[in-house]
Amino acid sequence: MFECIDLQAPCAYFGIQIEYLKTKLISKRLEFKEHSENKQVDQTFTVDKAIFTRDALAKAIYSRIFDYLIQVERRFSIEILISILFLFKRRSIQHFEYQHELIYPLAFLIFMVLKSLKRIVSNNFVLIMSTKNFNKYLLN
Amino acid sequence: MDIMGLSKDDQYYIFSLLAGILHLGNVQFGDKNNYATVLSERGKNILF
Repeated sequence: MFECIDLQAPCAYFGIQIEYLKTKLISKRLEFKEHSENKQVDQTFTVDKAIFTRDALAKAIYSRIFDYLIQVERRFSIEILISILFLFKRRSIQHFEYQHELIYPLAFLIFMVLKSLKRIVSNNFVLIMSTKNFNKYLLN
Repeated sequence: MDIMGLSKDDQYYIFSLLAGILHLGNVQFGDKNNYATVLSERGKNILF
């Protein structure tokens, strides 16, 4: 059996067997019925398809992590989010001179993301109040 | 991530998954009789 050096690191991080990941990356299992009998066939991919599968796996895991982070974020009140924003601001003061130019697009971006999540639709008032406080903070 | 309220364990799992994705990008496939196979060594195009 060949030692797959490339597969060792991902398998260690994901906590799965090397052989399992290898089979899943380069083949698919077809199930069909023949004479009322379930049969399975392993079909091996071409190289292009294997690369596609690898990328699809990476994308799937990445999107699940992102969904999880969004789920965690939904538990918070908007005040905590703004405190995170202020953290960014404090850091940007150290590194950039024009922190206002930097913080406004950032705030806009985060609000757009939240809006797209339809989180603020229900409590628009909270958002308006928070943005007022936010602007006050920036002017001081 | 501490501010977001994620526990140390959760942070560890998130980072390990991200690292796994990063390493997954290094996996290379080779051609073996028109079928794909995972290369045992990096930089080799054909697996004999």
